[in-house]
Amino acid sequence: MFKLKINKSEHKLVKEKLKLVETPKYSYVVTDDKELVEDDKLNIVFNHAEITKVSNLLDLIVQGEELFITGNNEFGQKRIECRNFYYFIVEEDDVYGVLGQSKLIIRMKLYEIEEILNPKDFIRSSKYCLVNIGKIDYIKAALNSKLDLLMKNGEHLEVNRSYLKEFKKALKV
Amino acid sequence: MTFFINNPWALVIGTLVTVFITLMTIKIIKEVKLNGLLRAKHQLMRIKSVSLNIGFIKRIGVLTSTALAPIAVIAVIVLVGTNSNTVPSGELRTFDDSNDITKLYESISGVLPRYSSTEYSMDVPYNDEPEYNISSVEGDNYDAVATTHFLTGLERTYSSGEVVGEDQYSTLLHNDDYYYEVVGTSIEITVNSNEGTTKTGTQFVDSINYSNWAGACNENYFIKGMYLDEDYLTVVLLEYPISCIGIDLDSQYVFENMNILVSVINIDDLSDAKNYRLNGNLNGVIYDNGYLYVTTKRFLNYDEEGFNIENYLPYYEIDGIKIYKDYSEIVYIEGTVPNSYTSVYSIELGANIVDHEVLLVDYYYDTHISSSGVEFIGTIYYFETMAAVFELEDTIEESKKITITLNFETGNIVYEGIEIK
Repeated sequence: MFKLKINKSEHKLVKEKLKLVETPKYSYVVTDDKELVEDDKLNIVFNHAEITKVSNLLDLIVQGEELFITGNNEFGQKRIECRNFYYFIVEEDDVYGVLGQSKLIIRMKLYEIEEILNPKDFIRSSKYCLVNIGKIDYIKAALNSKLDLLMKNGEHLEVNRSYLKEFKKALKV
Repeated sequence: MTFFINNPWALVIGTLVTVFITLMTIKIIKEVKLNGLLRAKHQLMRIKSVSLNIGFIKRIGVLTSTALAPIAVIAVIVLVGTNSNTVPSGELRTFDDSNDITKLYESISGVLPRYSSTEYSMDVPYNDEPEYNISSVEGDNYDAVATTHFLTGLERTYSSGEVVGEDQYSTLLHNDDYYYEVVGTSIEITVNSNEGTTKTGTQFVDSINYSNWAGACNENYFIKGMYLDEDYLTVVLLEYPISCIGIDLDSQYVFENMNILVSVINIDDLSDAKNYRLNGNLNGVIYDNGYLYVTTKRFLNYDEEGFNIENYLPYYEIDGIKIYKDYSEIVYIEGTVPNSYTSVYSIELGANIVDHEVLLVDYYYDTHISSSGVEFIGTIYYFETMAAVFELEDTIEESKKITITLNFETGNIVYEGIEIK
């Protein structure tokens, strides 16, 4: 996503301060030197004194615009920013959005949620489950070629064999 | 390779362990790789990194331990196996059936190097052939006391398996009335007309002939010696069942007697009082006050073609009625070489009473026999328990002298104990 173009001696330090991960394919160039801008990319030229602001800007770029999903429970309707959901799951024809300890019924089909959340790092782990990659704590490799996902709320989800390839692809930077 | 051919179970376990370790290794690599990707993804998503957390390290630690556990277990088994040895307790062990004995043989045949039928077939001593020296015969005058001298154990050339203390058999005996003399396979009875000073010119009375005693096996007999008391003339004969041996007639085993025949004759009318057949090759015999104590050995040649251990089960026979020893009554001492049934018989002469004890011990054990009892003296081994499995060269940790003592208590044979030095 990003390419940091900066003096070699400061490169590591700045990269850490900006919490920036460089990728081979990138759309943004982050630099402190006007001469290093690339015409076909979006360029962020910054002053070292404002490095915190740049970091916040990068947060906004990565996270994109906030996306809210509306769900219901016995207490009524609730609008939740999508990144707070751990996963979405189909249970008895209903789609539930699972938060840390509670869950909401979502009045949408799972594939519709998947389409909306496509740019938000949610990935199908099975026909009935859509997982937030950001909420995965640990991945266990099972001996039957499946994956066991330990979520940050302590729950376990399974990645079926047919979704394994896509799941691994989604993890790649 | 030879090790795996000889121990297929080791190959199976080895394969299973290898497969298990391979799968676990693949699993560990997968997990490390996937979680590495997850962490990188989280960084890219600018989520507070989980970094290298303790849970991850712990998880990999558990997986690695699991993968290496079988190796650790095998290593411990090998370590224990190669460093521990069986300490013979000296306690007596018995068997349920012949399979137990075969299993025992199989379990230690690779451990005890002396346990080689080849060695034994070379060394198994011939039973004493009648190399007797009628030393006291002078012309036609016979000495009135024992005259025949057999080679005793002390005079044998081999270094073990010797017999000490057995009776010097007699082939010429007398009482106030008659002379009893062994002549070939007969006993000739003549009148003792000159009160036992010489046998010259005595009057022939009768003879007892054993040459016609051939049964189903065309047994041949050799009269070993006689005992005489107030009631009975007891004749000890070696029996060679020529046609029932089931082995090559040229084999050296033919020269060994297969059984002992004890013929007890009433001296009043020369009728048969009792006939006893004792299974085994004669080892030692001693007469004491109306009782005859006999020890025999029967070599178990496990490697012989068509070997059937059931055929070797010791027995005795009184007037044609066979009484087999029960396998549960056969005694074995841990650490000894189980290649021979060593029987001890006690016969109350003229009666239907025979006491019979059987030890499963080394054919080469020395025998010290006396009227008070019998001692079997030989070697007990402390061997490496896993020596056969791991084909260790030094299978024997150490060896000691063992003495097994059985007492003769007025016709009863009683185990006195075992001494290990």
